[in-house]
Order: sequence, then structure tokens, then C-alpha cells
Amino acid sequence: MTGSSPVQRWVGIPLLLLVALVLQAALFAYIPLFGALPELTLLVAIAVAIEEGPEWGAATGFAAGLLMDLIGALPLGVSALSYCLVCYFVGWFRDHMSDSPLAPLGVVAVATAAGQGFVLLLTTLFGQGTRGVGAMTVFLTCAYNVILGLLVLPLVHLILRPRASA
Amino acid sequence: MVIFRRRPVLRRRILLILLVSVAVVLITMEFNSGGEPSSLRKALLTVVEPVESAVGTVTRPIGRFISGLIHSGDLKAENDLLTKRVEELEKEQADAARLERENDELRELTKLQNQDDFAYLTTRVSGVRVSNTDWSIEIDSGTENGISDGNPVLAGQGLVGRVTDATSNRSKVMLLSDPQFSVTVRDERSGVTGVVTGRAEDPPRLELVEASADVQEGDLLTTSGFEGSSFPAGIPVGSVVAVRTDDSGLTLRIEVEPFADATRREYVSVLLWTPSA
Repeated sequence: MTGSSPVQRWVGIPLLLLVALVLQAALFAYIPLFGALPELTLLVAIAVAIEEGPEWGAATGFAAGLLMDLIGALPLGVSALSYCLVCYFVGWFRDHMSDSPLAPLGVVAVATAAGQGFVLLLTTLFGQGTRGVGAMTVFLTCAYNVILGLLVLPLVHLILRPRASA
Repeated sequence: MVIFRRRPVLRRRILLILLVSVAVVLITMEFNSGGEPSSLRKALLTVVEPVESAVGTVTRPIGRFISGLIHSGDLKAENDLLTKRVEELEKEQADAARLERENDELRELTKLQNQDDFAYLTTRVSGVRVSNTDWSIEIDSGTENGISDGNPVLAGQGLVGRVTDATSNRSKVMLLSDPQFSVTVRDERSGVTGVVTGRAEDPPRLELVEASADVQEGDLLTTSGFEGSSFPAGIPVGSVVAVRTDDSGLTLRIEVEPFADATRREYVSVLLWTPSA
């Protein structure tokens, strides 16, 4: 709880989100895994929630979702609400997480599925159609995020906790 | 402020409630704008657009290059298919001039309007789908080039979608596969009309067709161009690939294969036509 300074958070997190957004739209959007795209901004928000807890998790999730809504075609606020709630709970859950190095990757998988599930639920509730995203796509997106998580989780840790990782 | 420092749980709950409330307000604003992009969205897009455009100019070719490497097998198969298609088209071209002349004469007689009567703009696809729930692409032209919300978008000769968020230099195109997309079509062989709607990952479906209607596999579907329609008449939409009777036995469940797929294209054409109010 004592690692990162306010400067690291206020500068590091927006920068991480912007880089994630650019990579999502201009790089990973062209590299689907068997048709499924990763959710890189959600992954960064999950990593921030694991590092910084529920408050920063919720705020980062909200910002990440809002950016995705803006560059995608979903109604403004749908991904923001979904990612915000998911990352809040990830931040809350981190204190209950086991010390296994695989535990954060498990959290990434479950949180990615929950984030996508929530988006699909909200779009259905608000009459936007079911968006027909099948279970296989959700599964592949989770797998994609876990693979990227191998790189993103240590990177976020390094940026937000330089002393701890030195 | 002191109370928040002493009670972090209260602080985090208040923050969560605040963020959820803002999100709900945003969603409500979007839905109250009646399907049109809200003014807030347009304003935010105007701010984000130049940044995304500048960064994308550098990163997008890298993405396309990696995508090309990964899909080199697909590209070869696609190349073979296209070579075959070119041969077929060369044969068909011989008939085209005669048919065009006939068509002109008939159109003159019936005073029909179709997409050939409208100006169109060929433009570059600058952004593809960004997430699994996103069924839109972005194009490199906007209102400054004469594009406006509602313009039909074609790839080759087939319909791929319509413009939804036109800003000064860029526009978003809602694809045919978006579940919010629908277009009234006519079966070119039998004249039966219905509505084709997008179904995300699944093939689009032709709906509102009664069970006794004459629709067969292989039938060509084009936009109907009814009065008040969102599209002019005669744009090819797709072909019928499967026809089944619905569970109720009252209507047909018809799957459609679109003629064009904008997600794999580098250029599309925007028809500078807007639906009449």
C-alpha cells in the first residue's frame, strides 16, 4: 500500500492507458487470435487495480472503458460502467489473493470474462442487441489477455513500484 | 476531507457511487439522443481525433505488416480466389455493356433512381474494429469532404454499412454486422421484400418474410429504396445462403452472406446520399 508516489500514479497511469489505447486500436486490432481481439485497456486497468487497490482500480477502469466507448461504437458509458465495477472488485480482491505468481493471471482471466460479460449484459438491457459474441470469443479474449498479462503485469508493477522491484 | 482520510472504506464507496452515477448519466444521454451520436460524444471525438490520427499514422502500418505476416496463408488463398474471380468478371464484362444500355433505357422509362445517380467518394479505412463488441470501422474522410451521418458505405459494389459519427476529417461507419444495423431489401428474382439485420459474429439475417414467400438459396438481395428508406435502391447487399421456416411456422429464417467485408479492405466508397427526412 505504500509503494507508489502520487506523481507515479497521476502521470504513470494516464500514460499507461494512452499507450494501451493506441496499441489496441492501431496494432492489436489487426492481430486477432482466431477472430478474438484482446482488451488491452481493461488489462491495464486490472493491473492497476492489483497494484493500487479498489479506488485507483475503479477510476482507471472507468477511464479505460470511456476511452474504449469513444473509439468503438458502443454507447458512451457502457464499457466505463462495466470496467469500473470489475476493477473495483479486483482491487478489493487483491488482499485475498494467494501469493502464487499465477494468481494475478487467474484474476486477469476472470476479470476479463466479467468485463466482457457485463458489457454484453448492458448492451442487451439497453436494447442494443445481444452483439452475438459467443463463449468461444470471450474465452479466446481471456486467453489473449492472460498472454499479454505476462508482459503488462510486470510492466505496470515496474512503473508504479520502482523501489519494490529494484 | 479529514473524515475521508480516516475512513478509506467510505471514501472508496463514495468514489464508486460517483463513477457509476456518471456512467449511468452518460448512457442515458446517449439513449436520449435517439440513435444519433450525442453532442458530448461528437465533442470528445473532435478532441481525440487529431491525437489518434497522428499516432495511428506511425503505428498502423506496423499493425498491418504484422497482420500480413500472420495471415500470409489466408492471403495466398484469397489471391487464388481473386484470380479466379477476375477471369469470371472478364467473361461477364462482355455482357455488361449491353446490359448497361438496356438498363439506361429502362431507367429512363421508369424514372428510377439508383446509386449510380449519386456522387461517391473513395476513402481509406483508417481504423478497424477495436474490440469484440465493436462492429464499426473508421474512415479517413469527414464532413469537410462532404460526408454526413447516414451516408451508405460500399466496398466494391456491395453495401458494408453507413456513416454514424462524421467529424471534420474522420467518420465512423456502422457495419452491416452491427446488431443495430438494418436495411430493407428486395429479392431480385422474386421481388419479395424484407429487412436484413446484423447479428455480430453470426451471418446477417433476412427477417419479416412470411413462410409462403418465394425465397431460395442463391437469390440476390439489393436495397429496396422504398420511400423514407435509409438507402437508395439497387445496392447489392448479399446473397441468400440458407432458408428455413421459423419455429412458429409463420415466417422464414433466412441467412444472408454479404457481398462485401469492409474489415479486410483498405479502401471503401461513401455514397454522398442522405435519407430524405
